Order: sequence, then C-alpha cells, then structure tokens
Amino acid sequence: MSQLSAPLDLFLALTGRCNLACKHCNASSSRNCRQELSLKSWLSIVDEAVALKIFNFTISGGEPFLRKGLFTLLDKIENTHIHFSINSNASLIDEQAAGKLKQYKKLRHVMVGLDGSSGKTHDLLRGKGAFARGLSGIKNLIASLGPGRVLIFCVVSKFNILDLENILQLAKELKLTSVQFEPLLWEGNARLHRRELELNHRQSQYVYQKIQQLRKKYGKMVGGNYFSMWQHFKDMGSVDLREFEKSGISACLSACSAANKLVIRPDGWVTPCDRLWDYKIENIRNKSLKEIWLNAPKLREFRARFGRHIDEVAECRDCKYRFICKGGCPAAPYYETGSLIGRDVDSCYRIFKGEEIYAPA
Amino acid sequence: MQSQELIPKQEIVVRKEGEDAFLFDPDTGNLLCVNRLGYFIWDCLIKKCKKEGIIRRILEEHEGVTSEKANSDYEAFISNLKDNSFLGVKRHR
Repeated sequence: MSQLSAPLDLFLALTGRCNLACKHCNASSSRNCRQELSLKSWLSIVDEAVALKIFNFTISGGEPFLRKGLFTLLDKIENTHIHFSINSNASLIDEQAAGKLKQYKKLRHVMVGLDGSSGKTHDLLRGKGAFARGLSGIKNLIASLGPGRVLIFCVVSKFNILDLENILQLAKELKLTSVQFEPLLWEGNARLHRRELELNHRQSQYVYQKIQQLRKKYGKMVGGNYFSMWQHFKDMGSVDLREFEKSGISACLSACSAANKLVIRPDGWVTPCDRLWDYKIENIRNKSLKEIWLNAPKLREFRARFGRHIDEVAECRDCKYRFICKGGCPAAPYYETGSLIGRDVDSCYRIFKGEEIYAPA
Repeated sequence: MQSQELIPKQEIVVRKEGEDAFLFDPDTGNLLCVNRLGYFIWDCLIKKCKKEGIIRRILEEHEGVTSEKANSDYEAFISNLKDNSFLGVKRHR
C-alpha cells in the first residue's frame, strides 16, 4: 500500500495546561497556555476526521481533564465511528469523571502516567502529592471502567530504576493488565532536567536486564519500548551478519507509527508524532487536515527519511551492523542534532552491546 | 425451521486505498487491511452475491487464477472476516 489517503490515527493534544509540572514532560505543559484551539475548532476536526475515515484518536494534553468542553468533545466522538483512548495523569479524575467515562463505548482505554510505586519516587518527577492524587484517580477509573481498560505508562529515569518491580507489584495488586516501560526522550522539560534524569550506560543495561526478568515473572503485562527494543536487539544478535554483508547495501531507516498518524497540538500546529512535538508541519487554522496530510512539504521531508539508508547517517557509516539496523526513532536525532537523519542512541546495537561507550552530551 | 446466512455487517466503515482497503468495525474497533482480492470479495458480499457467483467472478476478472486457488482464497478471507466479527448473521425461516 503506497501513501495513505489520510492518517489512520490522530493524536489530539486538547490543552497545554497541566496541574502538574513533570520534569520529563515532552510537551512542556504548564499552568498557562495561550492561543489554544477553541472547542468549536476541535469539533470541526472531528468532522473532518469522520469524512477522511480516520479510525482512532488519542486524547491528550497537557492534562485533558483540565480542558473545558472535554466531555462535549467525547460525546461527539462517541456518535461517530471513531474509537479513542485518553492519556492522563489521573489526578483530576474523581468518581464523577470516571463515571462519565463509563458511558463511552468507543473509549478503548485510559493510559495513566505512573513513575513510582509511592510518593517517594513518583513525586520527585511530578511534584508533591501527585502520587496520592494519581492513585486515587486510577482507583476511580478501575471502579468505573474495570482494570483491563486502565493502562500504566512509566518513563524510566534515574529516579525510578530501582522501583520498577514495585510499580509492577502495585499494578498487579490493582489488577491492572498492562505496564509500559519507556525510555526518556530529550524534548520539552526533559531537556532542562537531563542531568538529573539520564541513565548512564551501566544503568541502561541494568534496565534492559531488569525488564526481561520482570517480563518472565509478570508475563505480558510488562510491555513498552524497553521490552520491544530488547527483543529487537535479541533478533539482531541471532542473525548471521555475513549473509547481509554480501548484499553490500545498508538497511533502510525503517518506517514507524508516525508514518500513519498526525498530532494536533493545543495551538493548532500539526506534527508527525507526539515524540516530535517541535517538528511543526503546518497549522490546522490555515489548512485542512487533508491538505496537510497530502501536500505539506515538511511532512514529505519527514516521510523521505524512511527511504534513506543507514550509511547516510554519519555515525553509522562504518558500523558493522549497518546491514541489519533499522535506525530507531527519528525523534532521538532530531532533539540531539536538529536533523531527522541521525543516530538514535537508545536503538543502537553497538552501544547496547558495549562495543561503543556512549557518553551523553 | 430456521437457517442462517452470514452477511457483512452494515456498520463496517470501508476506506479505499488504491486497490486495497481498510475495513473498520465501529462496534469493536477491529481494523482489517485487505488487498485487492479481499476488497473484491467484500464488495461482492455487499452486493449480496453468493459464494458460487463470487468464485465465478474472481475467475472471470483475475487472470491466471485457478478454481482451487479462488476457492481457498475465498474461504481464507471469509474465515478472517468471521474471526474478526465483520460478518453478521441473517436468519431465514
């Protein structure tokens, strides 16, 4: 299938406002946000998404439960074919809000950010009292939606590497079925707090090993990019490099889910992915979704990355793994160097294997 | 006595992409990506064609396809539709 006529998924960041100020927030959400799209604009976007036959929305922010008119928008989505999920810190989800969510058949799940098993770790990243309020929201969601529709998203950093199993244990006690462990990306607030947050190589290795142990012990409830990257590294380790070298052609930078989706920020800027928050393509106030998807030059530039070869990446030109490497996430080099064509150190097998010692900038 | 017939669910959203298509069920959120032949069969089902008629049309419109291949592709596709609940049941008295 060649270029799609429209995205499959839309990520709607309804507001830049947040009641927390997390050190690792990729969107740099804060208590104030200017020039947000109006509710009327968001409702029009839903209309266009229906016309384009888009299938899924991710409702996010900021903290979406701070967005005035949230339930008006969800009511509208519920009356279309489109399914949706919500990303939230859960701290504003009281019994009433959770009860309202129960009425939505199109709601797949609510993904809650939980970075610690107690206030001792979680609050270090998210602020005092965030854990207690978040846990209360999680319990309200479970009571309303059931544990299978409440997912946990945990960003791994120096603050919580020794707390990963406790987080899983807490999730298990709550009868939750999915905890995703994710690496940090150096965008938004995380850039400002990099020194405090970033894992060194030894700590990264520890996390990979730990996630494997936890997967064995807790089964499929353990997921996320730390697990899938480890699987990828394991696959890379099992191939006969000589077979691939024979072709003499390095692998292509592989397409990711950003090839099938768009993000609309609170200020109307459209980006290819929530991990590329600052890669602004066009503003929805000026162009339709369809026009942006089909014709925006910057989106073409983004997609062009996926046809490029690994040996076009300076750091990877002489790497012996260039015939089998997929190049990782475009957001990583973008935030390191400003270019989409660059190395994602988190996906680098050479670094994973310890054949190169990577020192963070 | 009642008999049953499997028919495409009315509410399925079909999004054509070149010769391929996406089928999306708004009830379950299930999404299927189907190729040219899959879309052809789906379109025939929507037009209420029966299995024999669909196989005949596949043979007419797809050069080089044998009867056995058309039959097995048809069965595999119907099985996929059933597994993903894209077919509803129509009861006959």
